[in-house]
Amino acid sequence: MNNDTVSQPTSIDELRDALLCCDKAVVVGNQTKSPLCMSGEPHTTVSVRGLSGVVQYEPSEFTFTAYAGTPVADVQSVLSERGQYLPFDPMLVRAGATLGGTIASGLSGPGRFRYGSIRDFFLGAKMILGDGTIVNVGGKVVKNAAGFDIPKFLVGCCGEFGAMAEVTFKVFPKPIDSATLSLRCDSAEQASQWMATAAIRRWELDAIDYHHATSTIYFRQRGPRDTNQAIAADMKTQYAELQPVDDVVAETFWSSINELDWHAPAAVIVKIPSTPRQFPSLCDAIDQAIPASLHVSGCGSVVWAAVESPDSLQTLETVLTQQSHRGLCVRGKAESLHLNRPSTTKIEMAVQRAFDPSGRFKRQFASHPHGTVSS
Amino acid sequence: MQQAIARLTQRLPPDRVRQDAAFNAAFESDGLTAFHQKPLAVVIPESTEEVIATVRWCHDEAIPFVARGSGTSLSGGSLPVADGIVIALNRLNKILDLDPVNRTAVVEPGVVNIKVTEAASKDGLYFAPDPSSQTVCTIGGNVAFNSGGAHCLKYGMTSNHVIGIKAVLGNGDVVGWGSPSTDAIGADFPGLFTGSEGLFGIATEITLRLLPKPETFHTVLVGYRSLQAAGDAVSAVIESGLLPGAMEIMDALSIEAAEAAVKCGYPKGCAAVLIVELEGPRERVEYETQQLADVIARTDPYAQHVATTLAERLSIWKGRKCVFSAVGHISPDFLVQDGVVPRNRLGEALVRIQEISRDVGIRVANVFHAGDGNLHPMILYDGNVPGEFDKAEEVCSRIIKVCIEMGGSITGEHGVGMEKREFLPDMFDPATVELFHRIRRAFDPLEIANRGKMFPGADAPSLSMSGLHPLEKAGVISRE
Repeated sequence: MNNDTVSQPTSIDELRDALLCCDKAVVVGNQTKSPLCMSGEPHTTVSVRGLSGVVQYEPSEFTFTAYAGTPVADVQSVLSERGQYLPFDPMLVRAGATLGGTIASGLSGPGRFRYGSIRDFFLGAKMILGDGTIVNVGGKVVKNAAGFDIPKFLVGCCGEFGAMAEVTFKVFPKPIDSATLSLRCDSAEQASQWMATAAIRRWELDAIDYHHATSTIYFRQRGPRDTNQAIAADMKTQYAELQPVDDVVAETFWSSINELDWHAPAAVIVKIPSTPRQFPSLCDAIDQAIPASLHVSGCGSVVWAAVESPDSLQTLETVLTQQSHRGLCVRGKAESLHLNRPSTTKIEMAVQRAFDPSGRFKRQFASHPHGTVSS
Repeated sequence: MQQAIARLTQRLPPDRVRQDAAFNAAFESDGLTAFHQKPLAVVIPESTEEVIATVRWCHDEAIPFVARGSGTSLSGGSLPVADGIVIALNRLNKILDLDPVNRTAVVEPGVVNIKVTEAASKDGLYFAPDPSSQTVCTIGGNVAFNSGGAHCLKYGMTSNHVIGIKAVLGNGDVVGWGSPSTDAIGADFPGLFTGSEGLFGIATEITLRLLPKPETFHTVLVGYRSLQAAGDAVSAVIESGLLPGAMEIMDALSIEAAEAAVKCGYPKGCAAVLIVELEGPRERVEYETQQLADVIARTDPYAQHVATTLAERLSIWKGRKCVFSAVGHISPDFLVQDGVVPRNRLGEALVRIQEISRDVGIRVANVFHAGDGNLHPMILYDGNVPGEFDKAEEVCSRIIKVCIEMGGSITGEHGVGMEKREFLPDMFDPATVELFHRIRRAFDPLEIANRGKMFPGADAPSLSMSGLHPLEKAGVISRE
């Protein structure tokens, strides 16, 4: 259920006031992940698009602080001028993703393989709790062990614990060059084996992805061109069928993964956390059950499934339930956000109340942390 | 109280609960020997079920507990609580699963840090977080304090490498969060638990992310005529676009101590040394080696040594890693601080520390993880001299305030614990501290898990003016 009421604050104080004016709030940015912007009950949509801009950037410190509504593209542009980047490959950047939405959705692209996902680069935040309290969690330096690590907790929470107003990230020097290699394989199982082997070899690859429809593994290297070529030559001794991918083609390919548009136009894109061991059977099971376009990213960490109809989504949920996986709908017209979501535990509800005593941010079909409880 | 203990012994196999004073004396303090406290009893569980039974007894009886591994905490984080028990986890030391395909390890909390890397090594993997006490410190403690080491800039802290946790919480619930996947849906509870300083409960099973071992290292030791020059060199390396695995700086007093202790062959007469280590595939390291050499050449080095063999590399690191215990040899007592400043203000921070040192009349030796701005000033004092401990405490306090003023942190890897709990409100505003309290009570309504730590409070244990930890005296652990 969506609501016509939209609030567009342009300052942190206005954001706080806007939140306190409504019983139920769904905080959004540019709404590039439309399922995350829904609620099953009447609510006010509070947009942070007006809270945009880099507040502080310290290239020599490898950190920046920006308002939550800042488009990631703007940040990338600022970082690029100083030869820096966000290594986890933020997603849907061209589509207009904001920093806040990137954190709330917890989405990371193929680059997550080398240095870790968004949780490993998000350092601190100024956020507004359900009672209107403004808190400052985490810090603004790359190393900080003081207080509870709330920034990590907020990654992927779909905005249900508070509204982020200002966020601080760690960045890295941008590699000099990039090269992509492709490798055709016979099956997802073979892909898993080859990817797992490549992941622990000396090459320190930047990304290892598997495109299921074409049974192709993509390896991305980052570094000086000459060293990329030397390492590629060594890889060739391991994988005889390894092929270099033209730079332009490679750029288009990786961009399509980050923008979630590698597939034919589809109704819904679902994120399914996985592992190198799990993804072959998961891909095969989905293949057998429904027409879907599948892409495996992060050396098996996540399976992206593009399905075309609500019926397919129901079948996908059945498959995920059978295989003990969970799904998050991140693009397209989905009627629910979660597939095979577990019930919320009493601890998780208690933590929710700690952030949001009145349930201002809690949604009926809400995100549920990945966990079990027994007593 | 003894009736309650009797009820505990009924829940556990024989010999798990120890109340004899001689045995329990070893648990009265951790690496921060300035504080000590006798526990009511020490429980030594040998299984997860026994941990659960013990914590549930604590909850039923409202008796506080402190979980502890090897006791290497340097912030008093595993200090006992008066009328509380210590739960020693060293016997839960099994690596339950090691999966080279998923690149994960599932371990019990009492597993020693280095054992994970040793086990993973045959598959070409390692566990990146490497506190200097990694030969004795346990993963449970690393998780509790979100420990770091020399490689945090590139690889992040312990929390970056924890993807799943099973735990018994302060309210007696047993929970499981996360999965073997490095991706997840929903709020990141393993991330929140890591670094919670034992205030939520006890992790009984931890899923760790493993990384491929770097093929090659290139280690350079550069001497400078001033600390400022060494600090500037760090900035120059960063601005060149390099991302070293580690960058460390030691000042003259630290060099003197290290040289006296292990004869590591550092250049004589310099005011500071910088250690820079590149790592990765040999082709890339060879390229970056030249790049680093060019950068260093522009920083007016006083002396330079490039490790050409593994032995030389280890010798460079031996001097760095031993410095805390080495300083123990040139001063009867010392405190070590763990503040963080923005890296580009390191030079300014060091000047301020020197001013404080002169002002109070206490010597300070400096070692720091220059790559991430983590200071480890060692405040040297003699506990047998009346007033010196108080002066040392004053120096610590003023250094921490400098870190906060500069926009840094009161701790980079030791945690707040007992030592810095009074400074928590200086770093976080009252609303944020209140949020911390609310979150803690969600996990532990009775506040029995590591009571008295992290948050300011009046229930201070006894203070001791001097004395090294036995492991420290033996040179096994260091205050880093």
